[in-house]
Amino acid sequence: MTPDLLHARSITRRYLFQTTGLGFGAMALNSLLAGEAKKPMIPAKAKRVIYLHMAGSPSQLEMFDYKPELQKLHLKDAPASFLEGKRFAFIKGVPKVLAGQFKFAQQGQSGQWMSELLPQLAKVIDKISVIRTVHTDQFNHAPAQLFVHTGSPRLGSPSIGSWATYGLGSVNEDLPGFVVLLSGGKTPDGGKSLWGSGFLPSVYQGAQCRTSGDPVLYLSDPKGMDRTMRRRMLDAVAKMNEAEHARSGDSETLTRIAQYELAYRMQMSVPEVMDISKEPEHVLKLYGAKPGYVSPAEKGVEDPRVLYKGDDPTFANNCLLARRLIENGVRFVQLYDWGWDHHGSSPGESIDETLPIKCQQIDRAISGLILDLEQRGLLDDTLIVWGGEFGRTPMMQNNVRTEFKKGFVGRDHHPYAYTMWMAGGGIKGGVAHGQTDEFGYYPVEKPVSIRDLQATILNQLGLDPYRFHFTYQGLDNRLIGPTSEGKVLKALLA
Amino acid sequence: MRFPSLLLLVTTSASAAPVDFVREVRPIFEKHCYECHGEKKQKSGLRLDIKSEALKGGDKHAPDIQAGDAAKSSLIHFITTTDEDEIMPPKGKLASEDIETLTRWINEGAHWPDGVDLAKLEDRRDHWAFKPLAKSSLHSIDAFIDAKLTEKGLHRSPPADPVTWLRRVTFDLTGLPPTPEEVAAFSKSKDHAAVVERLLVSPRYGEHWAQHWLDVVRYADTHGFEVNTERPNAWPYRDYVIRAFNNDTPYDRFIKEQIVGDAMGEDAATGFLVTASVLLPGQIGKDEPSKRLARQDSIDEIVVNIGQTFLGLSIGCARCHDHKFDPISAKDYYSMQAFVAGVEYGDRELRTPEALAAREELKKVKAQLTDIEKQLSRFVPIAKSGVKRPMIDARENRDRFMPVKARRVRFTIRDTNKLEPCIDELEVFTTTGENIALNAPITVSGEKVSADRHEQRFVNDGNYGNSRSWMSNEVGKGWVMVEFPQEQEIDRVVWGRDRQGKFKDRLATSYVIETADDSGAWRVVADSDDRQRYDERDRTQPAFSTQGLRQDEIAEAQRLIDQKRPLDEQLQRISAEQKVFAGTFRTPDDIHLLNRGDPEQPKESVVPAVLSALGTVTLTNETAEQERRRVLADWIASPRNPLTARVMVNRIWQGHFGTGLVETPSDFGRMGVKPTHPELLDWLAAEFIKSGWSVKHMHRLIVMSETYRQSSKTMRPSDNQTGRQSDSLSLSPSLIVYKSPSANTIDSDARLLWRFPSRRLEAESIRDSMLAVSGLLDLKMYGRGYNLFDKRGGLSGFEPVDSLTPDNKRRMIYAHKVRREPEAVFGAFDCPDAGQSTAIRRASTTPIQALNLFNSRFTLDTASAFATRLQKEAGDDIAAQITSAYKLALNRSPTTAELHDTGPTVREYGLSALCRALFNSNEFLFMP
Repeated sequence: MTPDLLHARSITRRYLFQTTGLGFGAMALNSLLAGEAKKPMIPAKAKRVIYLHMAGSPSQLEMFDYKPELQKLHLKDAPASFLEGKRFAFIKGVPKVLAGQFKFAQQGQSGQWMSELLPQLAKVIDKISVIRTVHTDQFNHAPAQLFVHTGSPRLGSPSIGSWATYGLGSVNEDLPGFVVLLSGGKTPDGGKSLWGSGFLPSVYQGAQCRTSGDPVLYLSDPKGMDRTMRRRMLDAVAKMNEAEHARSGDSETLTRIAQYELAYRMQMSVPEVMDISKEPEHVLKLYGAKPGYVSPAEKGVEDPRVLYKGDDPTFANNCLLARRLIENGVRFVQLYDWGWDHHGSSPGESIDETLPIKCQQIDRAISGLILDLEQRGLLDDTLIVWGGEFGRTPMMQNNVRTEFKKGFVGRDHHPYAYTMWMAGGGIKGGVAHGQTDEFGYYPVEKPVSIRDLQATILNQLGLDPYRFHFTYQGLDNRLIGPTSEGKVLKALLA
Repeated sequence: MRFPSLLLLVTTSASAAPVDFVREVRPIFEKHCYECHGEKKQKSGLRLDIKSEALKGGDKHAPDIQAGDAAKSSLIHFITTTDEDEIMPPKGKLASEDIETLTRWINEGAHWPDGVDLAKLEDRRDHWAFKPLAKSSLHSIDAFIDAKLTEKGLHRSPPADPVTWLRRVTFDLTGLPPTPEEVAAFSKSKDHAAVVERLLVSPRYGEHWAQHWLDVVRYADTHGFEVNTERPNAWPYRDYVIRAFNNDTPYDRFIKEQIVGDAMGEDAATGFLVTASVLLPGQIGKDEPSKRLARQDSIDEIVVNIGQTFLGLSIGCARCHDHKFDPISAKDYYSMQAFVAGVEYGDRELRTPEALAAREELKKVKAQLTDIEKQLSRFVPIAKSGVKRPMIDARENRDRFMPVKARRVRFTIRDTNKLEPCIDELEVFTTTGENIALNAPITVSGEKVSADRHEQRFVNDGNYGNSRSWMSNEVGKGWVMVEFPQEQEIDRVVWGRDRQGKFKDRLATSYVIETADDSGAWRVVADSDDRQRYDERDRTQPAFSTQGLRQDEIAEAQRLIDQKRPLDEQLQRISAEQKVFAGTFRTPDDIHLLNRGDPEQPKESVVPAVLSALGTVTLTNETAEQERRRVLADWIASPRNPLTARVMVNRIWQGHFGTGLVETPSDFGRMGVKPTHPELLDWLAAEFIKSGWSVKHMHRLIVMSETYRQSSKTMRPSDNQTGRQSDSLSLSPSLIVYKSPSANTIDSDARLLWRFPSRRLEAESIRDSMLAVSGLLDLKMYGRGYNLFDKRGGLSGFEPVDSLTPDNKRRMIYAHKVRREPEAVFGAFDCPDAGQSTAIRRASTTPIQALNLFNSRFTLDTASAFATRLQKEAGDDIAAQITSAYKLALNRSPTTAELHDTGPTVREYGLSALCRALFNSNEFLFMP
């Protein structure tokens, strides 16, 4: 903690003690904040979560799910069994089978099959549980993302990060408990509802931190106002509010005083934790991070995908930030990386050209994150989740081009089977869970539903997925939905 | 579900006597199953302690017991499976004798004697809200409130001081604070009734109360979902609601107009039916199952909206299974769907006098534009005439050529500056100046669809701009062909990339225009070869090239262009003013009961019928579309419907006291919270009906009551006789201990109303009040909304409009509501994002609110405007300025201590610093 921050905090404390007089000290005020840490319902394996969502949905067939059988059928008409009674977002007519476009090899002690696109991640694969049989019932981006993150494909339900902070509170009273970081140049299709608090109180909503400019909107003092003036004004407001409290006796007034103080502290603590330039060189290297770098793809262009470069450090910077945030007590850090929707119908969205670029952006960053957490002894109680909102078809998408053309090789949305992985936080390493059929079309062994994943994440955090609920509009709402179909994935638990 | 194989099925033993249910079967159920499938819990909807329920089965595998066939009974499957995830009971497998007993019992016919069940199925219709209104001996709000307080040993607080009441009732009815003049007038007259009448006739009233309604119906100006494109014609419904409140439209009529206003001369009112998020045609998969699912979702939204808004029931739960708690079956739900099965989401022509006038105006504007266009064409150099023509412009290009007879015109793009080409409008003019491409049949090489934004139909729909354009699906190429019913003499083609001037990419930098006459032979009439080479950096070129023109011709051309631009804008605006997003009506779909809500598993067909627990109205499937909705509306808006009046008076009560008598305003079902004052609720509902469903009558009753007038203070008045003394710096002793624990302990939330429960203002009221107090508020009512974001709709990345513009100083209800995109500053104050119905707003307190209200540009600008106003009105004297500031913002003068304290701040940091502090004070932000 910087001297400035210490100073700010001590002022605040003194101020609170002083102004609130006898007995009604900082402790009572803390209890008025949402932040206070709560005891888990059941024994917890993970204290915090870093969730890495690849928005658009990466192809499992080019990364984790090795299907040599597809080579034999490459560019032949897809077997009828693929197509009967199926829905696709964009495929029309009879599509052709598309072989995996990259080489696979077995990696690590566990001998997991991985493609050449993830050489760094391959080195830490023994710390990861790969789930090859995740399936969802949504096949459009926004509803599928909402389903993964809020448990409902419709708007209005709290995100998993909000649930976690609601259930467990935050451990740092100077930082929001749930932070969201974006990369890839666009907000995911599901929009801000993906980190909204839904029917939970809005203190639990994810705070989107920007990586350039003000990390939180309106965080810095306006031009021409220094810290002293800020303090003076804050004191003036507090004085008015106390007077108001004296008149009305409404305890809400005290909460507001406390929140103004928290905002004041956040002005110091957020920029500090968001500043990765203080990280030593070897750590930056581990992630491939570059402090202060603003990618051209992040400048609000209409189509950022055409500007993607493999060495773009934006995602790596976010991974490093994620570590700093959880280290400082943030409960749930959610990363969204946009640009994984590789249909192959326009430039910048192909399996053969764009996917390798995206993989390069995340490969070192994620393996660096895992190693860094491990070195700091944080991996054991930090759960990392990686995945998209669905998978991609074993067939080539053919609505635009029926022929195989460089830079335009694509796959459509595939909800029936895809890969996600988890690591740390009480999850076993080196596990390959579930098996898909020879084309990677359906799970044939140990299918895993989104509900199962959600139940498992809650379980690791010490929140009983079946009992953990919030009563709203007369119903006991749960992340895992009204039925209890979701099962904790016991096979993955260490 | 999977039934791998029933390997373990035990064969029936022929020897034993028939299994006795009570003696042999029930004990097994009791011991192993009732914990989850009994009286307390019915997991997966399965209940095994009551015959009728058990034989009906659960949600997923019903019937779980197939009498006579254990092999097909899922009950047996679950107790015998080897799948660890499925096995029942989950704690451990039943003993094999038990399995055998159950198997045999089912195979023998699952004989379950009547009258042996120990549990009784409760009658779900036996619920207070479904019963007729009860009569009571009490006849005023205060009497009911006092009766309950007395019961608890409590009593009402003394009245708040008159100015506090004035501030409270003014915020409450109009969402704005009273002016110092209004305070002065009331302090003199003390006429409460006159104040209430003044507020109820103020147009500000409807603007404030419409917001409560729009929260419930989740009104927004975008379509929501993935693409979230603009819904440009939604606002007439918002205006309808404001007018209805201002006119005190009887509530029964208000209901009917929203459901079937097309039959009542209130087209815009039916915007209610289609307030939900919806997938547009281009966003739905091309296959039939996707279309069926999307259609089901969109009808579901209508039924859900009707159920929760008017009836306070969550009917939607019954889409997948019979309602768990309320007497609403899946059949009830689908029967409700049948009433609205002919409603489609879409724009409808308005038939109001304004819309008719707009249509007339449109004709005039079009004629004027045609004329200007014709005159302008004189100054356009002719293509292929040897003259170097100007560089291509992303906005608009004219290709003029010698008149030619054409049956078809083809515009082929050979290259772009970037990506796939995009054209916002292609116009083909005859020698008489008519654009004959408008809405003519077209063919395109291909298209990259982005629903409601890039679609081929937009290339000749008469609408300009990127959001109404065609995009090719190939990089650098593509073509559009227009065909006319007969040969026409044409001499001009006008086209652009984005005539609103925002986009310059995807521009056709090389193209050729060809025509074909009746013979079918194609000839090139213009191409880009004689234009100046395209150079993005060259900004020297004017929008209209004046190259080769004489000085006087330039002046004339410029004059015409200056005339044309506002007309173009006018055209766009008037076109929008004639339509409302209020649904279109067609022959109703056949509605079937759907197994688990899956449109691919239709069961029997259903007819329109109201909820069976509440009524018997049933129609046939031959009933015409509008008639269906009329009947539904009549049934809801009936004094005999036990829910309608109760639900609305509760919403009104909640609007005044922050919490309803029923705490769950959109759930009056059995899972909702029971009313704190059931008799009062019924009395109010009866009053409501008796008054002719007058909402304003209810306001009068409430705000004129003593209950409403009482103080909001938490402590006993005797503790605070010293008034504002505690303002002094020497810390406030009253912060320490509450001296009146009794009321606070018994009823800390003041649900019983022993004091007035103060509450934070809503987001809109805070913004509106900041503008009002600083003298900036623009009271322009109605019409298309203003933007709080840089975009009106679209994929993502909305940037807030930070600074004050002439438009955005209007009340916030007129802000363009972007679904699920909370406004940058005030969204944090629990402003709903229209993702779903918000029947009650939370009032959370977060640090983000503090940052927004302290640092946002909006606060800085309004604070500085406030300061300017003070200087103007109060002169240079700091004390006078401070006094004036307090009077405007807080409706009171500062105390001596406050004057003393704030003086130095103002001197050191300026008056606007004080204004900002005032905007952040609780006293400003809270309803007193």
